Amino acid sequence: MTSSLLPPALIFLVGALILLVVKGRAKQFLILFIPAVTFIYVIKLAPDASLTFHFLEYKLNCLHVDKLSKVFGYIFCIAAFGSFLFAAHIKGKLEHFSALIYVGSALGVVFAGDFFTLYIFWEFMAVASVMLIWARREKKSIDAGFRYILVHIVGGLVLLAGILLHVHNTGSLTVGRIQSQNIASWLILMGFMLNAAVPPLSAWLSDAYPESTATGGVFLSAFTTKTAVYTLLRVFPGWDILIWLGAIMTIYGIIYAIMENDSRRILAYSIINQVGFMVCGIGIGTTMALNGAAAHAFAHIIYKGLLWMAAGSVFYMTGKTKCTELGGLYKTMPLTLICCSIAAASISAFPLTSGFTTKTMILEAAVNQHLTIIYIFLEAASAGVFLHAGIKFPYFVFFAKDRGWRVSDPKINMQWAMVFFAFLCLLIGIYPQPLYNILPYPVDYHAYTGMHVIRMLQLLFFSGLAFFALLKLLKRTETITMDTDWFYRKGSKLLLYVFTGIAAGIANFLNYVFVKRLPETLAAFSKKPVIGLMDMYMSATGRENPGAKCLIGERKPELVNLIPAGVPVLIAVVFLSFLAFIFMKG
Amino acid sequence: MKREFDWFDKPDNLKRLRIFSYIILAVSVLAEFLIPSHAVHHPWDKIPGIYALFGFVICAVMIIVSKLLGQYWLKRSEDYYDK
Repeated sequence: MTSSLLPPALIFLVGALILLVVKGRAKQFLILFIPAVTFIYVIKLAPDASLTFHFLEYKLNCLHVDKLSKVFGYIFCIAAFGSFLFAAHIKGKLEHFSALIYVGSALGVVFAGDFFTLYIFWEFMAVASVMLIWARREKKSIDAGFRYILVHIVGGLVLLAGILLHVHNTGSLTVGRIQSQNIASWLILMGFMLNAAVPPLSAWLSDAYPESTATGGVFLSAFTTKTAVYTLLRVFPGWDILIWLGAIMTIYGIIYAIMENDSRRILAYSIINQVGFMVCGIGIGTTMALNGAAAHAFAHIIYKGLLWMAAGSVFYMTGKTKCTELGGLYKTMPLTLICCSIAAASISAFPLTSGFTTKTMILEAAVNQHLTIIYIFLEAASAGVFLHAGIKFPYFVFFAKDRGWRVSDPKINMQWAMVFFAFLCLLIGIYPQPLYNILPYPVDYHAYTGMHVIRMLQLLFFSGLAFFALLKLLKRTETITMDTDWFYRKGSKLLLYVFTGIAAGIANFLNYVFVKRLPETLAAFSKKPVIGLMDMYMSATGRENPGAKCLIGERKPELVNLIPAGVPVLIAVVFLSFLAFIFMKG
Repeated sequence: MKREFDWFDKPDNLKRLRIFSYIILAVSVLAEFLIPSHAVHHPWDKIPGIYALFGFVICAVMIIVSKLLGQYWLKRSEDYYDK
């Protein structure tokens, strides 16, 4: 060790161990204390702090601190605090324990200075996060959790393969910008993109997150994808392919979110849409775009967490998540509605909310780089965000058709968590300067120009008009939507069917040959060896043996039967006499 | 018993809300004329109300596309994967 500083992840991991021995109030205090104290610790971290080990001939660095890692360190602590506050009422320890490990591992990735450390925490994240899905203890969640963990294990292996090749090629484990395009860098990129839910590697998200617990979804929405955004920012800034993938992601998320009936699945697709903006910004790669991606990740974690809290509150109180089963909740859940509306406005980037001061940086960067088509994509996606997350989600859950629910706002800790996040959404929207100050590069951007505001309002208001004008087309149906998970859910069944078909065919053939025909033939042969041999002789030579001919044929007696019955008895007697003779002699 | 808050269930209120929304829409377009435009990055930036038109058209397109995609291809019954 060259420094006495410890990685922030350690606070969470130690906290998880302490959690196992505390109860009641102490447990509630602990889960709020850990993110709070880690937040202060991250503020205090010096930019050049490091914690290095030597392992074999490699230098490992568990603590690499710069402005980029600190931005994500701050927001992860804030998100953890809000999410734990939202989940503070939970009695059991499984969810808290897994969440602590999950957040700790996410922080571990963010402050990892070498790929080895990054990979270890990366895998820990996958394992810890699946517990938040399984904790719902329903068959659908268990199944979805298994698919989730399998996809992440495959993704992790791809990442590992990339890292090993990269280390082999360059001899360096350091996590830093990769520019050369080779198999190693593409594999690492694929591993990161899977966690960032870039289509077609995105179906795990919309499959698994909606099956998590009411509170687990809040955690999940924040960490896995945004950790991937961080690693992309760190390693692959300016990779052109990310511009297009990001732009496609934004539209992809919207189209699916419009089709979905499950309120939490709408939000899951909306994560893909929002991460698309960040991925696109990372691809553009100018300081403005990278700042925009980091700032948008920061704001996104808060408003998306808040949306998941609202959906989680509704799920917690009603036990339902489908739009076709919800509606009219504005009457009895006013606080949830207000907080949800603030989050919906933020994700839609309404002026005075956090989306407006962050997302528009990415749009501005696209304009500055003369990426006109990308700019149109992103503006279209901005309009579409309002459509699905801004209006559709609150409309069908809180308004639309009154389905007779008369449930109140959720527990007080959940309400406070929502108020806390709603406050942050407005704070970043109204006074973004503190956020701009902590971004990785100096910021020269003014969100609130007259033109920005007016254009954004026009875009959003008329998107809203389109929603209500075409409301009939948006009528909810009791359906699910096929995504690329089809290939491993239904396609695997098809594959299984084909392979079991082939295997069964081969097995049947072998069964016929070795189990049925061969023993039958051998049995028949051993039963009638003489006739069998004669038969073979005749069929081989084509000659007829007149002597044998009478013996061959239906129900003809076997040779043994022709010998008088006394003969075997005689032989036996002779044999026994012979034995007796030997015995007497001896 | 406390009276239930049901403001949004009353047709009169919804009508008021609708009129209010139309006014907001109109104001958002008209406001563009009051603000001096110096940010002209794209040829279409000079056309007044272009973002409003774009917002409406692109959303209509996205709704229709996902409606068609859902209807003819991607939407399945809820027990599709259990079958």
